Amino acid sequence: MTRYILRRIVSSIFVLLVIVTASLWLTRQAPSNPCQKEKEANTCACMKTFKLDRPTFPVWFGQAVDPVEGCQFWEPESSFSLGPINMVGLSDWGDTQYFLYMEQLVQGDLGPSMRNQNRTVNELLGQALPYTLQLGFQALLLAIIIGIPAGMFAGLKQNTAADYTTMTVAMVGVAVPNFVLGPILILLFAKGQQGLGWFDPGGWDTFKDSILPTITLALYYAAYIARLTRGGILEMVRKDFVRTARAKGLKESTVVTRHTLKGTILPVVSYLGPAFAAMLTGSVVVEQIFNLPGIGTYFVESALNRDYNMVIGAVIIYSSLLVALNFVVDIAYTMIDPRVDYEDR
Amino acid sequence: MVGSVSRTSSPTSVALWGLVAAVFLWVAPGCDSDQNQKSGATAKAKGAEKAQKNQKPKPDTFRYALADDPETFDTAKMSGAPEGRVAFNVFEGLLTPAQTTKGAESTEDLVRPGVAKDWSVSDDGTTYTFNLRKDAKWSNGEPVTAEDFVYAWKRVLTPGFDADYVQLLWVLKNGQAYSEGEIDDFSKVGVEAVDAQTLKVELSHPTPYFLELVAFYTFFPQPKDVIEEHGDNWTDSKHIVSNGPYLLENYTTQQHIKLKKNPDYWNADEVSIPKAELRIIKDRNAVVNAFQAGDLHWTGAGLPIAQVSSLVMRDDYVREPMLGTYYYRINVTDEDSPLANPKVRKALSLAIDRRSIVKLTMKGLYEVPKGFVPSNLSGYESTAETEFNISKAKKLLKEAGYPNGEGFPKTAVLYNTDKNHKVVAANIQNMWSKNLGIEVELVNTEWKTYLERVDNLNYEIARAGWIGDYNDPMTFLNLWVTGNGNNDTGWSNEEYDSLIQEAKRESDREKRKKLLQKAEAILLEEGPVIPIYEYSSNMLLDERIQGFKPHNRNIHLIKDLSFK
Amino acid sequence: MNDRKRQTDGKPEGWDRADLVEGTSLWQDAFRRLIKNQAAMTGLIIVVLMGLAAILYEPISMYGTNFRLDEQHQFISAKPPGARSVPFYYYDLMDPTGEAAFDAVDEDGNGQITSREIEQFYREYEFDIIDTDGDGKLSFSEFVAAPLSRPSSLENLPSCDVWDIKKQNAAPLERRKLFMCDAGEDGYMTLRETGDVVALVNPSEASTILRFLDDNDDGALTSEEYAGLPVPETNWLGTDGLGRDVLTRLIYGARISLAVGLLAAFVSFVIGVSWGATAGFLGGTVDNIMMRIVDTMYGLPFMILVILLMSVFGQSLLLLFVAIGAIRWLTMARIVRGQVISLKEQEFVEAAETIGVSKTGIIFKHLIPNALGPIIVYTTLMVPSVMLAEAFLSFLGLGIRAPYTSWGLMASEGRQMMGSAPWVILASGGALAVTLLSLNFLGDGLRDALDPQTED
Repeated sequence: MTRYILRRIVSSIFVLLVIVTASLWLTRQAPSNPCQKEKEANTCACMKTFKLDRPTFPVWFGQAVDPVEGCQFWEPESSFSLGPINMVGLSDWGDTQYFLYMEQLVQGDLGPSMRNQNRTVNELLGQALPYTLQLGFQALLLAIIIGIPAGMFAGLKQNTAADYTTMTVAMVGVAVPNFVLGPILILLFAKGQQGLGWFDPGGWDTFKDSILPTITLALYYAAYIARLTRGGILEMVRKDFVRTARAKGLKESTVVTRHTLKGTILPVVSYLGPAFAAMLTGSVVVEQIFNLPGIGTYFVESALNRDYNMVIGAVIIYSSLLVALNFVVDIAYTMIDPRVDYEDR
Repeated sequence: MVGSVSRTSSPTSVALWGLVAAVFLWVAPGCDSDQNQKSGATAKAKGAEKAQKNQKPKPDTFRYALADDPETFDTAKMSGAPEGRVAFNVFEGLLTPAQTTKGAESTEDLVRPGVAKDWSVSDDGTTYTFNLRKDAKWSNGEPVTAEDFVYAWKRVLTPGFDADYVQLLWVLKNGQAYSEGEIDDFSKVGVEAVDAQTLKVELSHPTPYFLELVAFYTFFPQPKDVIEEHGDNWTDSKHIVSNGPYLLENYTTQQHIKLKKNPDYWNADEVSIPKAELRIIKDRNAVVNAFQAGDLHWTGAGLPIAQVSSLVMRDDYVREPMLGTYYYRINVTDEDSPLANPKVRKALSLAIDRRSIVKLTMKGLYEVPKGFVPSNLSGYESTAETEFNISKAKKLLKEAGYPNGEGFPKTAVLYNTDKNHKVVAANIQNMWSKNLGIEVELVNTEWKTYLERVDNLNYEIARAGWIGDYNDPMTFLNLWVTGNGNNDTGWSNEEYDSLIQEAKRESDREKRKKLLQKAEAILLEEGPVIPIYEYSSNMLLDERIQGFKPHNRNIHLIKDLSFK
Repeated sequence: MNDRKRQTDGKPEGWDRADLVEGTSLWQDAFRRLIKNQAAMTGLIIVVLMGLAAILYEPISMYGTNFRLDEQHQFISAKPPGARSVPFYYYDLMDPTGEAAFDAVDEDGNGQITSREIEQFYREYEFDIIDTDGDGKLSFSEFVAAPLSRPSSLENLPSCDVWDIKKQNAAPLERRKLFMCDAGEDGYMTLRETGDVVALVNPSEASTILRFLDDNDDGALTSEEYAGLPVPETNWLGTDGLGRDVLTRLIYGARISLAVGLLAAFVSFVIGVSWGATAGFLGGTVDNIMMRIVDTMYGLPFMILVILLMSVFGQSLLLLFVAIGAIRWLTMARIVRGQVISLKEQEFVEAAETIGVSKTGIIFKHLIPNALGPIIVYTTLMVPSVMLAEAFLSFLGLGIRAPYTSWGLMASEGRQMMGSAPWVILASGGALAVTLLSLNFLGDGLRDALDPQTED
């Protein structure tokens, strides 16, 4: 077990490293940079402040950075070429953007925001993260609370009208995208619109403000979990031990809770990891629709604004959450299901 | 599928649920333990406020939308509208912006006393003396003195200091030289604290719009001790010290900025609204939704074009003129392109029916432009005018060697992704092809990419907009001087440059106006710009609000407002 | 990641017991079962119809909806379903001897039709339709019942002094103002007073129509040149904010959405099948490494990286296909690997090996065809999820760009004017939901049909 956990930790760190490197590379490939402004001033100073005048990686092709007119740029003390490849000399490696970023990152610092001056990415994302997390967990909880009972209900009443109704509703839930559901919910339930006027159309000041976004985000997963649970139930009720239990004359409720629940839950548990990952992505849209102060809003916007540090910071947060959650789910899984041979892998 | 799990017993069930719960508990508190409490606290406060609001007496909080998080609260560094919305309420300069109305002939009408209770100007228009009021105080109790202004201006001009609007301070004598590091003795720069209540300013040339500049946030005073103590963090809500009618109470990014009335403000008795909440809402539709839900009293900047047609019907719809021009710029640097020929550029301009674009396409939201300088700018009127004249356009195009557009290469129009820009571009594409036989393709990119291409002259024709920084034609015409960083067309004209230089030195207003009009005529005749429309701001404003006076840069001070 | 999990991920139950039924009868059997499944067949029919509409966009837009994708009727914004516009491109002319006779259009009777007269003619035309009782006056109820576009700005409204209608509080908010001008007697609106409220064409459209008919380019039509005016057509699903026909755009959007769905699914199909089959067939260390890579990639927040990719590079349709396709192949690879591992033990593989078929040959000729059932099912279920991903990106403004459109982009545009024109988001969201529903039903049906285990 310890070996398995250790191995998982090492591979998680590796995954994060790959992600950081990839997103750093990606942002630097963009055809513009954070220092571009409409009313132009201080472009050079800005490039220097954020150290964007250096090569991104120890190895670069051709020129280091696009020259900006009238700017003095960083020059390597030593560099050499291997055919078409330019290498930054060893003495300058520590000066490449990648190294500088990694150095910061190891200390847990995501750097300054390139747009909101005097604010660090840690600070900004720190403010935003609780909202995204709360939204995600509320939605996950709601999905489970609705999904599992609905699925069990349908599964136990297989091939009845109740089953078909529940499953049709679930199917619709899977088919209506959250970015359609969200606006429709606003139209129906938000103040100032034609509908009932129960909720604020956006922002997040009280718990009440999180209700519509949570429903918007949760519906798809509730429906999916219901389908999974129903499948699990159908599988389980055919098993011999359940038949035995029934034959013994145990109460139906006991049979359900004691004997079939665990088997039913397993696929749902293993779905929680991917579900939460998808919810994090989904929250990007939901946050925009409901104007919530979460990470998703920062993420898309800063990607378009080329706020490099912010983008990479958001990606790191998303990835860490995902990796951590997958990790926990896997551990949970091994503990619930004793047949899993973790030493094997 | 998951096979049979042997005998289920309740302890394992409990363990299962325990683990599921652990997933939640494990991730959640690690990141948000104290944040949650905080937001819970503000949530309660907010709930209480909302409850109050529902009782329908006079609201005590004025709520309006900010289109974005301010990049900074440091008045020396800021540039942009959301920043200004905060700065003008939290800080106060020597003077305060007044309403801009058509009748205002000189800058004196555009400003009101602020920290300075009165001022005088020398006859040659280059020396200003401001007398500061004694009761102007910082929020830490210190008096606002002339030294605070000298300090603030020095800070902006310090070489290497990242101030976007440093060029505005180049009007000071030796301001440019100091900021570019040519001289390092600040006492040579034309600003001096004669005593605590007297500030003497010397300008490098007569600048009729200087008073309006002084009312702008880059010229605001700054608290030296606080900045020196906290460095760049001085604008944190726990450190910030300010001198405006309101104080910064709390700022949560992406959510709101809360202001409360400053009891020590010299004119606090006249300030009617005790609190303000600036809600940060980036999506313009969300702003309208929030307004309709009664969460906002003012939508702040523009309305979403898609909804405008139904919004203009409302009684709380407000439109005011805006000091800005929407135009197309042309890259003149490619010698092989027909666009290098002034006749072609003029023809392109003549072939655009601006009236139809403004009235029909833009649903009458904006104004038909006269020249490049917006007509709502007080004390100036363009003599050269844009016109719509197809036959003249065709003639010019023929003279340039492209009769009926024959042989004219396919030309690309660049714009940044936005519905408005797209509609306008499609319209112009249609007009040029219909009226001149010129084929145009539309290219759209994201904002930053667009800026980069314009910056590097990597375009043929590009959409652009310019919002003036002060009510003087110079803010529009200085752009096109050779080498101006925002010219971005490669256009250069000696006569134009010398006219602008001459105007800068001229102290006689009428003569100066003539020079500028002449320059603008050159710009429109052969210049790289095609004005399309004049901006206006379209907003929704709660009908209970009083004291909302039109301002063509959309500057509205909360201290002037009150609830009915 | 563990073995148990791998088997349950995104994969319907029962597949790990490989269905090793005799080839043909399995397929016939499956087909028979699929036919019997009503939900799946309905889904199939809907998907096929959508596909046909997408393929036939050009003829449909020309002869069916009569509007084109990018045709803007800008004068009047967002018309509700059932309103009319005059198409730009395919002039189906009215009978020049009937309603639109030369003399009827030539109002001042000077023998020449100008563009103003064309505008006026369409106004009358629209007024006659809205004036349902034909009394030449528009009552409040007629006005409210008509699928009129909302007046586009105050200037286009009849002014209060010509407006003579009683205040009506029951009118919809945005139209009420029209009726609040006058608190006098019951009022009616005559044609003259309706002004641009009933306009079908704006001045520039009118002059375009004129130019189209004007053979000698003199800016006026004589009775010789006159051949009737274009017929106004109905916008069955209304128009969007730029006056573009929603139905036409929906059909074009189907083309993009389905194309993205199919192509991206194809990309992931190719990658996933090759990867999984190779790993499963070769086994041992290679398998271990390849599947470890898959496991690691499962941990990547792919959608986040795709958002980043699209916001950095933007605009490229090809990039969109590949990016979406490249993130969906992992599960496919696992399924195929599982299938191949259980299949390769079978005798027919040994037989093939004995007669000297190459490894590639065995993988692609023998193993994959036999593993086809689950692959088909998974692909069918992958198409809707890919379409959803595309819509998601387009909604954020990172996917399809103008001049193209997709359902996701339309939903995004619809959200902008949800309050004033809800039909745009309802139409696009509805189309998306119906298609996803159909594909899901079809996928479920296929799974049930191909997996006899589920039918007890």
